[in-house]
Amino acid sequence: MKTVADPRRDPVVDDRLHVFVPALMGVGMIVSGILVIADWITGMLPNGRVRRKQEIATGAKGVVVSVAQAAGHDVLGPDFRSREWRSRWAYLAGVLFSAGIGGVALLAGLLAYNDDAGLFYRNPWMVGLGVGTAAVVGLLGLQLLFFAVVYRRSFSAAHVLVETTWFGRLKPPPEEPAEFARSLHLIGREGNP
Amino acid sequence: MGRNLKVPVDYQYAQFLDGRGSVATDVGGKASSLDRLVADGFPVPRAAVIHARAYRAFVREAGLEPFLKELQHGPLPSADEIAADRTRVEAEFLEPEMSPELEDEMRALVGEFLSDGPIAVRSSATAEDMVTASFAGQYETFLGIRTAEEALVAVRRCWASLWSPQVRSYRRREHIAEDDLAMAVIIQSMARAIWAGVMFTRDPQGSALDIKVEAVPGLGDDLVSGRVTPHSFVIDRRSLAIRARGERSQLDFLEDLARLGRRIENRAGSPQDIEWAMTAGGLRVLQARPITVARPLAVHDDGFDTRGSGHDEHTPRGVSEMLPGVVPPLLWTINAPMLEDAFRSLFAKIGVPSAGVGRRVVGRFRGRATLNLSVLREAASALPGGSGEEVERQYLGHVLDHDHDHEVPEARGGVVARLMGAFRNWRANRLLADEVQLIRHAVHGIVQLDIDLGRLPAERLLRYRSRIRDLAWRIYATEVAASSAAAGAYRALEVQIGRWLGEDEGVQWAQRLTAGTLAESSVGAGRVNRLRMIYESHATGTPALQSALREGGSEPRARIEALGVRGLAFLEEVDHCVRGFGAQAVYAGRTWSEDMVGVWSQLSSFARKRDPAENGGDSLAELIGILKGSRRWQLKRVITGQLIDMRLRMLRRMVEEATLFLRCREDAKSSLLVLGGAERRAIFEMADRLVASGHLSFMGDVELLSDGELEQMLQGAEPVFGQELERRRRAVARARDAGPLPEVFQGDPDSVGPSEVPTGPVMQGWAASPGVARGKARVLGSLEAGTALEPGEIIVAHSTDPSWTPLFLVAGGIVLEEGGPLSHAAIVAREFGLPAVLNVSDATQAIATGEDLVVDGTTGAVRRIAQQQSAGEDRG
Repeated sequence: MKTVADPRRDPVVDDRLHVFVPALMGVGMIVSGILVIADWITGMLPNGRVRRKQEIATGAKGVVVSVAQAAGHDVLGPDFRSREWRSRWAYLAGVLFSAGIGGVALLAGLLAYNDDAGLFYRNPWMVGLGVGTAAVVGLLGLQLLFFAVVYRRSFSAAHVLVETTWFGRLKPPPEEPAEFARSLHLIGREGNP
Repeated sequence: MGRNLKVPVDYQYAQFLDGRGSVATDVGGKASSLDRLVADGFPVPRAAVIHARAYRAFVREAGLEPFLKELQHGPLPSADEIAADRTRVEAEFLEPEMSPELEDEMRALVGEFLSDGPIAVRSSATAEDMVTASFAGQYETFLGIRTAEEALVAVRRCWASLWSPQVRSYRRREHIAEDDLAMAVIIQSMARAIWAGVMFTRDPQGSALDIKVEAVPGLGDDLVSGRVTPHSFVIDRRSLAIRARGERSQLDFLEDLARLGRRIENRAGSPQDIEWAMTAGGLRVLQARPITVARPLAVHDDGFDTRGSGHDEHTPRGVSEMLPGVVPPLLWTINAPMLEDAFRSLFAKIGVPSAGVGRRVVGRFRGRATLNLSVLREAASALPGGSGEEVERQYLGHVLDHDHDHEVPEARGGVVARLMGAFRNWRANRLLADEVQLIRHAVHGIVQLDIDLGRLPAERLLRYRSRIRDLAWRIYATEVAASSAAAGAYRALEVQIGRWLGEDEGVQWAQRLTAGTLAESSVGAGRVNRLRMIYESHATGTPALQSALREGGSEPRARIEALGVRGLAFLEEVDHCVRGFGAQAVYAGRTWSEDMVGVWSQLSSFARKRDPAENGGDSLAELIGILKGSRRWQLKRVITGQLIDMRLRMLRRMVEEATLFLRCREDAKSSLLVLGGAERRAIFEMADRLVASGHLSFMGDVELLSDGELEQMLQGAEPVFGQELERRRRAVARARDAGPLPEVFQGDPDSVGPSEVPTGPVMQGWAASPGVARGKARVLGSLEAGTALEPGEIIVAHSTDPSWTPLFLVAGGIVLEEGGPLSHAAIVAREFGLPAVLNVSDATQAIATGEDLVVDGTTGAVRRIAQQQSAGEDRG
């Protein structure tokens, strides 16, 4: 009589070949490892929430404005896509980081140029690369130092740079709908109050 | 063309139709419509209109009033008498002398046209081209008039046609009032037609996605009168491709004509029946009016019910929370197109845009909204893992027994296409939460603007309303998409837990895990919480206020006002808060501010009853504890080498997803209702103006108008007559009396006989919220009846909607005839920890108020104590 395998039999518990379980376990461990790394990387990455919130608030403002305009009014409200000053410590940290990177680049370039056993001995390109990197990073550091010194003082050029480039951080818009609504103000147009 | 006219200013009884606006009561429906076409820039032949007041002056001067009264109140002629009756009416209008002033003016007017060639003289009655009664072909039209004498006779004949026997008969059949009827007459240059005909922008006999064109060579008069057989063409509305044609293979202007038709329909806001002519100078529009399909109306049909397609199955389940009960014409015509579009948009998103093409997803029978189950099955079966049975389970709570006629057709497209559809669905779901956030922000912003609508000119008011409506369309689409995503995620959670712990456990755990969904939503608990905060800040330490609220009643305002400053401050805050709640249950429907019964009931419950149950928070931890405690679970984890327990990780993600989509759905719903409050304000402002202008007798009558009628009346179009409104009012009342629709029906709901009312001691339903409650039954037919609800009583009702939420805090348990796992009642009941059993057939008929019940929300059983005892005695 032909024997038919019981489909309800659990392949995990009844692993008679002693191959399935170790293979499965190996795959499980690998996947677990990947998940741990993925979690770590995800945690490190800056999330895009603020930008998404800005887009949401800007889109919502557009809808509100269009409704108000249909009724002959206009709406005053903040620009939800703006940026703001980072903390002073962030600028100072940037200065230190730039100084470090610039110093290392300059030193490495010079050492490589003078290392008679090295590949780049007397190679002027290495000095140029080191000096160039140090100069660029140094300028960046100076800029950051400038921001740390003038921090939030009324200096228009600094404000423009902070509000329009990554020197400033994205400004979170109002989180709650009610708060968002309070930031908008109806104004008259075409003779309406 | 009308735009190039020099407009004479000295006509007392006439005006040119130059698009500068006309008063419908002066120029009649057809002329008013022509004037709007001119205003919108459509190519209309040069035309003028002799006002209805010329007719009135003639009737007065000729002493015809007694004769017309006799026609109005006398019997209609029999078939043998019709010809004689017509001759008699014409003679009464042709014989009397016309005042010289009127005659001179009419001669001057037609003289301006005759100098350019022959003219057409067309009737334009003040009761014509209504949405529900077009009077198509009922009144006279005379073509090819070449002299002023002929024109004057034609004008008189047009006037007489207002009282022809067939028109009187038509009016009586349609219940259209005959008081103050009048006839304006259009004088129009004849279009020298090469081809002419009619065009229906939605094929009345075929698909609503097609345009139908009928054409004859030369003048279209023979076609309209039915004397010749036209060439027929069916044109796809979107691609403008010709789908069916008559003998003639092609007319080279058909595409332009179809495009013109679409534009006119877009402007008018409803499908149009357009008379057109193709001349050497291009296409001309001779007239356009709403398409009406003549059909006898059932006593409970107000004219807005759907005609069943015969083969499709419909169900009220699943849509009765969005459009609860009998939906009056205004709310129906506002909401139905948006909901239909939302479903179509969902189908397109999941890759099945062709599901149910040409058939409506949303219908209306006996005034109540339904979904086309056949179309939904078709759409679901096209998705990987989807099936018609899943749709039934979601909407009906069980799977139907199908015979072969109702089998779902095979899904179209290959595996790749279906997977692509699933991928698109997944991607769209990712963006849902952001879309919902945008909507919530925008709606709050709009409500906070608080624009003074009373000061807006009509045009601005309409534009404001149109922008609000644009957002509502968007929210509807989001809500339907979120509902679909929530249903999918919830079912996946049920199935997954069911695999580990068994099917029943899966169902119960899915309920518990999603019980906290509404915590921040304003549809349910959020709304309750805001009122509670106000109550606590004012009533704590003010026993008089607590006592005033505890006394209950539908309107304790006077008692609270009598408390002085503290009472007034409390009322002010409550009113302000309630205004932000918007509509109670349906977009643009009754608002919480209009009807405070639910609010007072809620506030009085704070003085009498418990807090909402603390639910959901630790359920996941509890479930994880159970799962991890199982040896089998631990063994599998070790064997499969899970350093991280991937099953728990998946479980958490599934719970997060189900909760997120449920919250998205509730937030979208909440936003829709709040925005609906803003639209409601605009509607009331419009109604107020129509009452002031005499177009409406009462503000409440606005609910009986269609959306298009309301808008057109505000723009000066013909009012819907009182008699027609009365007919609709009676039909709506009869539809309410007719009671709920069957769970599923094909074609006509009346074809399904009444089900047998259960009499047994145990009624079985769907276990929606776990727990056991014992109490007296309170059978509720409406929210208003809820004021009689005593604490701890079991609510027994057909279905509920968000406006019922306040009652849930007072009730001890819930028994409903409708509702699925994701229905509002189920979610709110779980939120408040109320045992609830849904989908109990005929519960409202079987159970009587005051009867002792035990509601077991864990097993889905409703036990009737008296019946159980008598059954026990019988056995004994």
